[in-house]
Amino acid sequence: MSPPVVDVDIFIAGGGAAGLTLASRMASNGYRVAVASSSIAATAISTGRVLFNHDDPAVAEWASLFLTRFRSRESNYDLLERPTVAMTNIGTPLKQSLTNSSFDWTLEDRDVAVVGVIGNNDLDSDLACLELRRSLGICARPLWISPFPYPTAANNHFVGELADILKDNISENTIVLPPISSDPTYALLTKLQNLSGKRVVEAATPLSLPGLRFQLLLEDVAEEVGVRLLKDRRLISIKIHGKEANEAVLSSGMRTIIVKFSALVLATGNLASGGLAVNGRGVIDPLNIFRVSSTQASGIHSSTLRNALSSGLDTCKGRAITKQGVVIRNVIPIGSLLKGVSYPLGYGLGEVMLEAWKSAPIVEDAL
Amino acid sequence: MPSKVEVLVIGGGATGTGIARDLAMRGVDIVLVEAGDFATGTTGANHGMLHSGARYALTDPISAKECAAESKILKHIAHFCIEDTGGLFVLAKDDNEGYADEFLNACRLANIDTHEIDVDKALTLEPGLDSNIRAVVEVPDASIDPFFLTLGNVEAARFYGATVLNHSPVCGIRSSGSRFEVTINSGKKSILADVVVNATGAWAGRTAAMLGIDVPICMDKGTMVVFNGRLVNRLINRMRPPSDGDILVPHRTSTILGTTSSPGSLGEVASYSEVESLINEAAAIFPNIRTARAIRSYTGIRPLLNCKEMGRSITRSFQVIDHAYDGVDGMLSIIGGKLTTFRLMAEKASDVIMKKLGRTARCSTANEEIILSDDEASDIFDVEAMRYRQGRKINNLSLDMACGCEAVSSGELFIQASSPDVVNIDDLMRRTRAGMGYCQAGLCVLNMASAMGVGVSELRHYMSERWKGIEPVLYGEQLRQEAFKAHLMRVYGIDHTEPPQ
Amino acid sequence: MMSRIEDGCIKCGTCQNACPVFRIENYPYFQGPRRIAVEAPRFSRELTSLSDSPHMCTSCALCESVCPSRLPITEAVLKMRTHYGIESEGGRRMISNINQYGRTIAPTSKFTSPVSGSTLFFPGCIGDARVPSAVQGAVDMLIALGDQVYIPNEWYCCGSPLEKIGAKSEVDRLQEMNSAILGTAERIVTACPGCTFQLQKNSNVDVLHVLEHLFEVITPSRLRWRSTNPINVALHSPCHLVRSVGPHTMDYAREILGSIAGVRVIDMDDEGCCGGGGGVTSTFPEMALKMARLRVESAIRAGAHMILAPCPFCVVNLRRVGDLEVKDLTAFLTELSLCR
Ligand SMILES: Cc1cc2nc3c(=O)[nH]c(=O)nc-3n(C[C@H](O)[C@H](O)[C@H](O)COP(=O)(O)OP(=O)(O)OC[C@H]3O[C@@H](n4cnc5c(N)ncnc54)[C@H](O)[C@@H]3O)c2cc1C
Ligand SMILES: Cc1cc2nc3c(=O)[nH]c(=O)nc-3n(C[C@H](O)[C@H](O)[C@H](O)COP(=O)(O)OP(=O)(O)OC[C@H]3O[C@@H](n4cnc5c(N)ncnc54)[C@H](O)[C@@H]3O)c2cc1C
Ligand code: SF4
Ligand code: SF4
Repeated sequence: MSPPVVDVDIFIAGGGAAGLTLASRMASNGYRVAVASSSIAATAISTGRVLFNHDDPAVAEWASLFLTRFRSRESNYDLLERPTVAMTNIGTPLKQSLTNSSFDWTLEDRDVAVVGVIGNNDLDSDLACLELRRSLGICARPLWISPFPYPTAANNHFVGELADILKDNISENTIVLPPISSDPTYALLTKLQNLSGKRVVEAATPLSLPGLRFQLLLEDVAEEVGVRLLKDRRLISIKIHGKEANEAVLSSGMRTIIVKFSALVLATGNLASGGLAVNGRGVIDPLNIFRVSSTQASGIHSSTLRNALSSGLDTCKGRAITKQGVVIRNVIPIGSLLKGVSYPLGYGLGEVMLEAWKSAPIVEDAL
Repeated sequence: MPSKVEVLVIGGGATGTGIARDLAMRGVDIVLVEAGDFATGTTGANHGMLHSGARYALTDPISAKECAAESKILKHIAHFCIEDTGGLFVLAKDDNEGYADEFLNACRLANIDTHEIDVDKALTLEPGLDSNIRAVVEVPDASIDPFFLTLGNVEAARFYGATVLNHSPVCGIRSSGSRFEVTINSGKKSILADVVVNATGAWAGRTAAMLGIDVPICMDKGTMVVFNGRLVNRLINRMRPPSDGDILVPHRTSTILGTTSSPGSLGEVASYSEVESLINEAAAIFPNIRTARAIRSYTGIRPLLNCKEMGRSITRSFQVIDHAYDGVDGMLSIIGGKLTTFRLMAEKASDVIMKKLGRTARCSTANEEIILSDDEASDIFDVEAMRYRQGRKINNLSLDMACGCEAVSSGELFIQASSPDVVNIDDLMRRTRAGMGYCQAGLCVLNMASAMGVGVSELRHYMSERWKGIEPVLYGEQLRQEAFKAHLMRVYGIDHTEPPQ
Repeated sequence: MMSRIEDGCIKCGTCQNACPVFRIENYPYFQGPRRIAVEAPRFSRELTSLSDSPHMCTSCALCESVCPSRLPITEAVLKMRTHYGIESEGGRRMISNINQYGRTIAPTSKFTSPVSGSTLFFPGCIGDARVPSAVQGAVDMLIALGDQVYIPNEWYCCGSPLEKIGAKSEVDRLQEMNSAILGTAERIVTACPGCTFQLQKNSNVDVLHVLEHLFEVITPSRLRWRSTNPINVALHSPCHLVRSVGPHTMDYAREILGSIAGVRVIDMDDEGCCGGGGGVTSTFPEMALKMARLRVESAIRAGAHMILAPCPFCVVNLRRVGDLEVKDLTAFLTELSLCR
């Protein structure tokens, strides 16, 4: 028996912020697009806070596709005017990031209680209050509550009880909580806000729900505009003839799937998500096909680590280059897989999404 | 703190705290002051071997005998911080065969319980050994945790009435009449003592110089590499004249490879090339070391008294110097030796001190457990981990996971953080092992900061200090780990690789 | 040397967050995948106090599927389990049944089916004993579709449940016993994900889950169903189907159900494990039931009239809840009629 075949115009390996942004743009332009992803994306373990370059006209284009669709999903994401445009969800400025200078404190009222939940490592109220005082001069009150009642998607009815606690037992008007529900929307937060009559702010912590929710939002939008998501399917090899790639092989559990495409986009992320791998002190392409190099970068003191972080796929006019130096005309790497784009050196989600957005013409050209 | 004591001990390594315990048990009125935290000198940077003496059997028979006797005693009195793993001496494929017989003979003479075992048997006991090894000898080496040993000494000394202070650097010593006036903490405190004991190891020269005494110390640096997980079940020694990269020590959740030996200075860090050369040496008996995940490196300084004979050839046995010969009666320096022989060193030094004080009580440190260890197992992993660390467990503790790598609960963090000895995140780490695992505090640092009630700037300082030991092992999985950590730390506005301000 | 599993972890915590057991059983009683597979093996003496945790794992592989380091976590959990030995009543019963019948459960059913042909239908122990209607229905349906399907007179357990409890020698013996019987088929089809995965591991012929067979061999063009009374079904994704056999199977299930007029597939709030795997139904029955209940409640919340699961293990465990009808997807399909 031969493996099943998926036939699309554009095949994107890697379903993080970069892959899903480009996929959604191409699908809404009418192309047949499939995105394969395997394991967690860096996007899903980030804090989900996005910084955009203020001057970039692509921000508006991006927003016209995504933002309305985010809003219809009760995401609470919005574009904020800043020196750099930040897209944030309700309350993101506080966050466990504590002192990150790129975010202003946007809450109008400074009458704040930070509520930690015992056993939840996401938000440490003492630590958050200490940092709020040190960095912003805000005297917030740290409080701790025990884990129950605590709402999750599965036990919605606790929202009411939690709202009562916030309303009756806490005098402050703004209340900061740890990430509150695994629900892909912020509906619970809104409900809590309505029921308690308080301003409820959720901490945006890494390795936790906010990033996961942002990922789910992107996936939702992608599916809505017609992208075919092939989850848990991993790109294991690419067949290349001359200067063109014509087939990709995916693993799906114990089977394989063949993908035929006109253009192949690689959006498999960096060292954190396995789009790149390490070999000794160097960084390599785990598929062992493409050339990896590094760029001059700043932002990390250690030169060895900086070098590794700034490593990524080499490109020529947006196209990938093999280890032998052949430019493959229809393989386009995007996102943090590219050199110099990894988070502590680059801008993270914002940059990754805008650059992915802007690579659409290159992909069209390759079709 | 009292303003007048019989004995003031300077230095809170194994030696100093051992003396404090010894003298306190003899009823002497004593204060110990340590500049940083306990066990932050050579003690906290050693290889963690409880030597059976085998390693020195040929080169230094006196040391070997001392180790043989002392390691037996420590297995009894310090078993809370010792894992009695046993050890193997292994003859590598290309090493000198004749050495094996000489070695066995010497061990017999030093009273070390050794016997040869089949290579095949050794390979089943230690599957990672090179299959081409040619001879294997079993020895009673063990793994010891120097941090908890030292903390145990401190606790015992306090129990017997000693005052033991960390973060109290001595900055001046003056003799006034038959007494000494010692100033501490940039002159904030001072104390009068009849006898002053200089147990400052590699700093002993500087300390003695405060009284104008010349104690010429040469520094010999030893580098070690920590690998994630237990690569070996027993200590593995290479059977050859002591050299670099000979020994693998299974230590709690890790395996430590060491050491090097070269002239060095205080505060030096390891280099990538030292790490590489250690790995190359060790690969002769343990090839898998090349693919194992190194998680950090560190260096310890051996203070050597006889500068002409640098390196390994010098005797490892210790010296108790009575500075009466330098014209300063009442001042002693204790230098050299080994962690394994700290008790014996303390006993000998204390005997001299007792004579000076004109007192007669005898040493009883060999007969009593340093801390009474709790031998009743718990069925909860984190509690059991705590028992093996602290020597005791607390049952109704808050068991939220604070450090996953080392199985430290938030309850254990909070208990330790509330000790007056603990003033920074480093101190907390040493008392719990939180942050010592493979992610090198990537996650638990926030929990530690929170338990300490400190914020991002303290956290940054701690991470920067940790980085020094990580940079030299930035290859393979640890490089990936640190890249990930850079993402994570950026969320808190931190570059964890930045040098401390 | 491949690097050891405990060396590949970067401590992102994703596996712990993804584990369905970790979500309902409190730490430290259950320690989570990272602790069991990655952190704990680095300890030595402490290991005596981990004993329950590895046995509570349902082998759902959710942890492994999200791990950015792609560590073989479930395999490592099983290794820890073997390290502690088989201590469950259920495990012992299973082994004694194997010794007696060559099956984990005493054979009960008699199927009406040819005994030779080209496509061997492998009923599997659970299919045989707990959801025989699915087996019989599948055979009938495939015959109706013109397939040369048969059930051999004799067959033995595929070994999958025994592997999960670490009974290695039994697994090898069963494979030996089955090899002559299975070796003659052109293709093997089963309705059980565990059997599919286990048999395929040791076989040169294609071993297909019935969904794969319907979609890839029979092909959708021949699967035209008559419409049915309107019904909302929640489609449960069996862990061993999605993550061992492959996620494409659930795409097939969705497409097949989507092509039936009257059937509406309802999305549940989350993907999850029913608690039926890894032997926990016998070692920790309460916990297994708690997990099943979460799935059933989620289906009810979503407005489903019935749960469909293409795995007999899931069906058996989900049925224990009792609040909602649960059917094997294969059985459901066979009860519909095809257009001729
Ligand atoms: C802990 C952490 C915190 C962060 N915080 C922030 C923040 O606060 N703000 C910010 O702007 N940025 C943040 N970032 C950075 C940001 O998350 C990344 O820059 C961004 O998500 C990169 O997106 P991407 O699409 O390039 O890659 P990813 O999101 O990593 O997506 C790559 C995808 O490809 C998949 N993949 C890999 N190999 C294959 C294969 N062979 N076949 C199929 N799929 C494959 C991966 O599994 C993954 O799903 C953070 C990152 C981390 C790790
Ligand atoms: C690389 C290496 C590996 C080793 N491996 C082993 C081994 O495996 N097994 C073994 O048995 N032995 C080993 N040793 C030997 C052993 O570590 C040392 O002999 C022992 O730790 C020495 O302890 P100490 O207390 O004398 O010195 P230190 O631990 O150095 O203590 C001196 C203390 O004095 C303090 N101090 C300095 N100046 C002042 C001041 N002005 N005021 C107050 N305090 C001050 C310092 O902060 C320090 O804490 C090793 C040594 C090295 C270098
Ligand atoms: S296989 Fe499933 S139940 Fe087992 S540890 Fe992993 S996620 Fe948890
Ligand atoms: S998901 Fe993988 S890398 Fe992340 S903590 Fe778990 S085992 Fe480690």
